[in-house]
Amino acid sequence: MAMYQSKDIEVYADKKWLEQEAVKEREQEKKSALVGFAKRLFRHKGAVIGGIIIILFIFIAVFAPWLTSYSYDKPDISAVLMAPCREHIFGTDEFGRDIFTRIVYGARISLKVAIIAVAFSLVIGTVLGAIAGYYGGVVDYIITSITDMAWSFPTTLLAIAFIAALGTGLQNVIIAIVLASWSGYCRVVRGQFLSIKQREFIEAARVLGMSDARIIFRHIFPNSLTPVIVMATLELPKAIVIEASLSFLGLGAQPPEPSWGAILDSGRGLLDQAPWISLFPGIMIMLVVLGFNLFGDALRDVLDPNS
Amino acid sequence: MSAKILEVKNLKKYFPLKTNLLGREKEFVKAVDGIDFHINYGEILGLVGESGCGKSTTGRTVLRLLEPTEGRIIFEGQDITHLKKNKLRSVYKHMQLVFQDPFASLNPRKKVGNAIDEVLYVHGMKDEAQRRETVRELFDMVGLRGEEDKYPHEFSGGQRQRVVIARALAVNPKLIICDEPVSALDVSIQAQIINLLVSLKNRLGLSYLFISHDLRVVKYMSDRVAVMYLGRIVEIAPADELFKNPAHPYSRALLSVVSVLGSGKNKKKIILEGEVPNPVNPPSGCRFRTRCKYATGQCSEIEPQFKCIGNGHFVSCHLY
Ligand SMILES: Nc1ncnc2c1ncn2[C@@H]1O[C@H](COP(=O)(O)OP(=O)(O)OP(=O)(O)O)[C@@H](O)[C@H]1O
Ligand SMILES: [Mg+2]
Repeated sequence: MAMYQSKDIEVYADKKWLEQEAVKEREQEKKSALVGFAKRLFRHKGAVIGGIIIILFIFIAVFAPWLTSYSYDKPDISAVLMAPCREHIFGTDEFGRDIFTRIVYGARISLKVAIIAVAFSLVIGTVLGAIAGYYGGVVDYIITSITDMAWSFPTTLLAIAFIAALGTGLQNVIIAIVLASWSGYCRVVRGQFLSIKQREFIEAARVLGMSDARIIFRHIFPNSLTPVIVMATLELPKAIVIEASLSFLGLGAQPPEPSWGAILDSGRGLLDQAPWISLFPGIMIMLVVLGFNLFGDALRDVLDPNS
Repeated sequence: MSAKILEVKNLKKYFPLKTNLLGREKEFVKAVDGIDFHINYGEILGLVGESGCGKSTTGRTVLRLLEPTEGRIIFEGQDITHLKKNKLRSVYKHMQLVFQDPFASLNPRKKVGNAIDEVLYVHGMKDEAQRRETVRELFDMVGLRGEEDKYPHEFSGGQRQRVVIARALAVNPKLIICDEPVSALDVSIQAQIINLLVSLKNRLGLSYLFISHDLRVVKYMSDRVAVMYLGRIVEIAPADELFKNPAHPYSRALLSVVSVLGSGKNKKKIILEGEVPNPVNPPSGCRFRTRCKYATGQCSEIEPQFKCIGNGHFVSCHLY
């Protein structure tokens, strides 16, 4: 016993410095885990700009009633088609409604639709992807076939088709977005599960007598969260655009609901007299989409262990 | 009298190589192709062989992490070959696994103490204080006192393997399958882990199936040793006997490396000619015949059976 030890220790004594290096590295790793994440995020220009836009957007949506003294739906004959001025900084529409007010309330619609739609598609996609990836076999085959079909349709087109079948209205817009976008999460999560399930610590969990449910939710899922979070961040602006597009086409929000897409549409016939009606919601959509995309991309960069 | 904790009979594990559209499998990797062995209570059985000969597959199949293609696995007198998934948990209370790569076998997002706490919980220890106490004891036992609140990446390789061992011990097993438990570690640390495994075995009365390609480690650890070649066990004998008088030409070649390293007499190192054949189409008759300098006509025609050549020494070779 002693012989075995001493001989080997002699040979490898010079490797001690390696071990010390490793200890240093490990300590650095430990510190950098969360602080490093925040730091890298703050140092990332895209994350900061995107983050500010997102925070402003959420602030506007949440505090809408406190940001304006006008009503978004009551007509005001005394203020029809006013150009931007001190009282109406974004101008008014043909019913004399304040565009700023409508945009501020419209932010609520965008945010609500996006969050609900993304939440539902995330849950549905994740559960199906997890089942397919974990169990494999026939279940996987069936789920993957359906996913591939859903995935191969252009999202907006699919959403329009669903609205055509379901009828107009925001609720149906949400359903349409969910039906059109769950497949993305399903694919990502399935891929994650397929690879993580083969890692040894999952095998270890099985040998340690853990149930499938516990392995899926407590062991595989937390380890596959990163790409799902990134994806959800990038899906939010897509949902906002789909809602705006459908509302623009008259398939989503119905008057007098102030969806950005609907406001944009309402200014379409008046572009030469009152371009501000369409201009400001257009800018808002662009900004918010830009903000989420910047932030999502930054998140991906920062969370990617290879970068 | 049944002194056997584990008995494996004619165990086979084939991996399908190609699957055609209808799901019919045509060719198989015969990773494990009909092996028999047993482990007695309190015994360490070493399993040696070159890379790819099927050692890990044997270990995983015995644990039912892989479904056996054929054969029987009898653990503590109970046939567990076809035991339902939900019944396997009771088997895993007594049979555990220690992996080669301790980092890969720990969940990177769980504190090591919590990982073991979870094992205790799953196995029915619902009282939190009792679990905390048990976790503390387990860490103590493997020489990691007070390190429960760290993440796997905060440990060195050897410490991680100690965590993995503590986790395996959490269920109070009788048999631990150690799949190359020290191969991934620095040699200076290997000795510590091996001594830990030996002292735990003596203290807790454990049995091990000790898989390794490091013959010195196997020689040091094992009571008996099985030599594996291309999905088959070619020789089983008590460790001293095997290292003194290897009978199978393959064992002789394999062990000649160690005898060169150790114990006085400088015997010549036997160098094996040729490549290990493909386990999809292993040679007929004796699998080793393509590389064996004693091979005769009958070696390609008749599969050699296990023969006892005394002292619990079994060999499957036509020379005997
Ligand atoms: N899941 C699998 N699917 C297909 N073939 C496999 C699988 N696992 C192992 N094999 C094959 O089975 C054979 C035996 O592999 P195994 O891992 O059991 O060897 P080993 O003796 O443990 O080798 P090593 O010393 O490299 O760990 C190899 O040819 C390998 O390629
Ligand atoms: Mg192996």
